[in-house]
Amino acid sequence: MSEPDRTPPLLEAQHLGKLYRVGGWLRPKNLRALHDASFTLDHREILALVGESGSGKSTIARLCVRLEAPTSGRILLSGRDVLDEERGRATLAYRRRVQMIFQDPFGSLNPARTIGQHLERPLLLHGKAKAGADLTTRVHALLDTVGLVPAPEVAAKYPQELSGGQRQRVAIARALAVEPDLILADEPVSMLDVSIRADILNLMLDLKEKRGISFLYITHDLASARYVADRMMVMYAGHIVESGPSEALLQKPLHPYTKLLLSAIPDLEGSFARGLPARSGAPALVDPPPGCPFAARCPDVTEACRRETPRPVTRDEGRVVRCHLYPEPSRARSE
Amino acid sequence: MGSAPLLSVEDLVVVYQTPSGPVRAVDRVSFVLERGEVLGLVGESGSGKSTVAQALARILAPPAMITGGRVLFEGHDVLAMNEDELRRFRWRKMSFVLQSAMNALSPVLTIGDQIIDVLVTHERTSKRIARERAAHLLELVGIDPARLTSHPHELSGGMRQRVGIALALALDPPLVVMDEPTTALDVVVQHEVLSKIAELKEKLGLSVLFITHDMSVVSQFATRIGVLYAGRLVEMAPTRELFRAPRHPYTAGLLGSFVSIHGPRRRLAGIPGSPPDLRRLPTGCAFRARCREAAARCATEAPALRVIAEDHHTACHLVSP
Repeated sequence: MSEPDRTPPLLEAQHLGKLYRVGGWLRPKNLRALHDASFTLDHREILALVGESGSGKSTIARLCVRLEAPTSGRILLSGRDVLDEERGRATLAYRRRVQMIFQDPFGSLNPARTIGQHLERPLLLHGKAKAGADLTTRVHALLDTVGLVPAPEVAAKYPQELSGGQRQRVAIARALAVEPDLILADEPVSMLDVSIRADILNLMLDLKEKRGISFLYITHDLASARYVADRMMVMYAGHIVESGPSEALLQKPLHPYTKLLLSAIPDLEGSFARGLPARSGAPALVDPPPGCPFAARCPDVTEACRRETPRPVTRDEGRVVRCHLYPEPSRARSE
Repeated sequence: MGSAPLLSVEDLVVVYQTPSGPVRAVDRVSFVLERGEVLGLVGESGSGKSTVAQALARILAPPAMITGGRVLFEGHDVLAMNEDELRRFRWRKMSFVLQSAMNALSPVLTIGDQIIDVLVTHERTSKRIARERAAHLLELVGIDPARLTSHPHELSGGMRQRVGIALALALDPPLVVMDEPTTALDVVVQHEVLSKIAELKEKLGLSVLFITHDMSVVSQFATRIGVLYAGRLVEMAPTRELFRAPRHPYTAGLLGSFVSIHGPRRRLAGIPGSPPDLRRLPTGCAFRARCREAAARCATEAPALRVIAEDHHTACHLVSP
């Protein structure tokens, strides 16, 4: 894609696709979880991946953290094809650079281990500290970083003694232990109380600013994406339908689905009048019909939309949209 | 129409018996809901908001117990009703849409049969008339009446939730209590369900007690909002006034924690700390550990809810009328 200088982006996805086989061997069907997803993520950047359930956003996360292999496409980390080098699951070297935190801060911690023990393990495994005083110092430093103080006291506690927000901080501290370049955060605040979410979002911003850590922030919540993300991608039915700088994208959404999503968000000062006309309904992911996946619901649908899947079109200000309303440059010229 | 308010909750107390002693999940909560009103009850986890809903529905089971207070519906004491009276009261006078309503439907019956079942049992109507009513109810919540023959698993989550609302409206109750009716739904579907509720309020003159953790969800159609914290009502005011001039530091903090999709981008403050453990509530004000303005008095004396402006109540020592 765009390469203004010679430094490759931190993470680059090229035409990623993921099909799941469903329906048994007698009548096998394909569930298209992800289709032709391409994007880049730079150093010191927060990229939000926004979509509703089933849109494929978690599939992207699972592919990028290498829990699963894509059906097609490439994943480049600092310009190197990681799938080419090692098929199968991620190696230690990959996990040292790319970490993941999950939605459920309750499920990802072991109730039988202290917070300190949770952090010691990755430090030792990745050779970031030696057992002894060094290890304790490092554990305390990590807890300090995520604002869990006094650190010695917190280190001695068990997960069940902490609140949801504190547990999510532990999960972030554990991800930070290996000093990663990139953290994939899958709905990290959606299970937390509203009053606590701000702290976690602010922590992500601080880690980006002060430590240069990049985040792929996966969420269904456009408002929080706007708050933390430099750029965002909107997903629908396994397609990245639109991407661009957060503020520009929200001020002037291009794709009809983004417009619908924006109009549906309740706001403290909002009113129902903003609701847009659009048909409800879930897209067909299993053996999907040809054309744009949003065609069945789109208020601006045309004949072409039902025939042909639109390709990503690059526009001004680093914006990309995947919609027949925005013709590809070559075609525009011939018209 | 009597002069008694539609719903009046007076000093409601709900206690959970735990191994480490009784825990007050709802502590002397009082509010009034007038006819045609949508009252929002907002709170985070542990605020007692769902316990209030369950107490009103009288579906609380041990270890939870209502240990004090009254719930008056048009002046009649709901808590004093026996099983028989309760059966006649629920659905007909006050019905419920709970968070899991979409999973509360029977998987083996068609949705038509489930609605008809409610109508036939409670109103002794003929099956034919009940079927017509059921079709009408589905239309009301924006579902094609052809879906009467569908089973719940054939419907999306949003449609099942709307069936739950249709069921709650089946006997034309004047009041519906909704506990997080849209929390499990995607934002576009949530918008559809909320629009539908707002429309029904206008069309049927329905009164709604709307319980949620998300202030933005009720902001658009609640006439008044009550804010719960650690089992107590800490503020209650008309919606616009609450957003414009929140008086309780917790309400202000909560409003400051919301990221907005519109307007200027500002640094979120959030609220330091986390909601208190109800088993180990501090003395005095339950919010004081997280309050930036806490004074000495806040540690010794629990603030009572009092009037600070017209129709505006706050439980905070630092607020003067």
